[in-house]
Amino acid sequence: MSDEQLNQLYQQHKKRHKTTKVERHLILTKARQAQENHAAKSIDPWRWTLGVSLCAGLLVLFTLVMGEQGWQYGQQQSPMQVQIHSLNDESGLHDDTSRLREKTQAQKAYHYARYQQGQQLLAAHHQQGAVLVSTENGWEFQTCENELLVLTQALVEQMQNLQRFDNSLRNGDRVEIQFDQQGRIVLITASAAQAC
Amino acid sequence: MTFTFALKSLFNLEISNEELMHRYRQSGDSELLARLYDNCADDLFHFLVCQSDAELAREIAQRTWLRVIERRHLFASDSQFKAWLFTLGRNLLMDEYRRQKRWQGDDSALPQIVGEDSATQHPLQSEMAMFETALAALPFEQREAFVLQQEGFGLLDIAHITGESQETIKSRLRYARQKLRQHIEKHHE
Repeated sequence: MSDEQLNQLYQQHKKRHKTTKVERHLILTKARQAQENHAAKSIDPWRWTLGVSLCAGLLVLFTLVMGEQGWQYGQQQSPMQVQIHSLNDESGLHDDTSRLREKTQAQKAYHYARYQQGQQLLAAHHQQGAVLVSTENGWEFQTCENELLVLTQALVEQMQNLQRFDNSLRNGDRVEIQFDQQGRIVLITASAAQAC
Repeated sequence: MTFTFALKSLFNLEISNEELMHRYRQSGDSELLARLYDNCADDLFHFLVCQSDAELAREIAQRTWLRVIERRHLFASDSQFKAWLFTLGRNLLMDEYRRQKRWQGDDSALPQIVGEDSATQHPLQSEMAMFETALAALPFEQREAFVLQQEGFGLLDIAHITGESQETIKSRLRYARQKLRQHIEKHHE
């Protein structure tokens, strides 16, 4: 018997022993289950790429937003830099303080004078003509309404200090006496009129 | 390789088992395994039938294919798929024999697939029946070497599958053919 005949017999023998469709179906069912399990467990490259891209985008967005806020915060919070090129000595500072105080006082005095002037304008409610009749032991005025107005020496001196009097007044001079709303003498000046 | 595979698939060109297994290893696509099964399932089953009985052969064959599914990542891309498949099947069969304590590790204890007693057979029995009897009467390792050679494996492949040297395989093959011829010719006379 030749090898060729043995080979033919083997092939004929093989044809008598075949797998069944049931066995094939069973194996392929297992393979499909394994495929589904693998698909469930494995990472889909497309989904993975999409997920990574999304995360990267969010990270970039977050970085940009936080960076902008941080920059603004840094701008707000960063201390102002002051470069000092020289030191003022204490005396110089004292001079400046004194100068400032004097300036403030002058401004106060000016505003007070303006206030006083305003008060005078308001206070000069009415006036009355009179004649200075005596300057001894206080001043005496005889008004055009024949009333005698007597000012004590203390009041005269106080009003002279406040420059409410015309210092050039002499006995017999005609004057204008200005009163405020309450009837208090505000100012006494010389008058050009000769008679009441 | 993917482009080549796609072209071959498109024009229904023959795709080697190694390409199919490589693709199956990567994708796990059951359709690829179906094509591998169609190409090799009968070969494996016949090899196992020759080394055991039909019932055990069916069980071992199924377990072998399940192992292909489970361990597809272990397939080396430069190896021959059919040789890997037969190695898996043979190892499972040996494990089963060891489990059943039918394998004692020496040649005298190798399982024999004994057919009908030739003395009781009808004198006009067919040549095929004589061949089947002669094949079953061969020692396990000689029958194994003969069947593997008939399945297209070379000496080197058989040596790898069985874990023996090529010289040993060559010797087993020579004895197997000699005994088969003697057995069949004896019954012809």
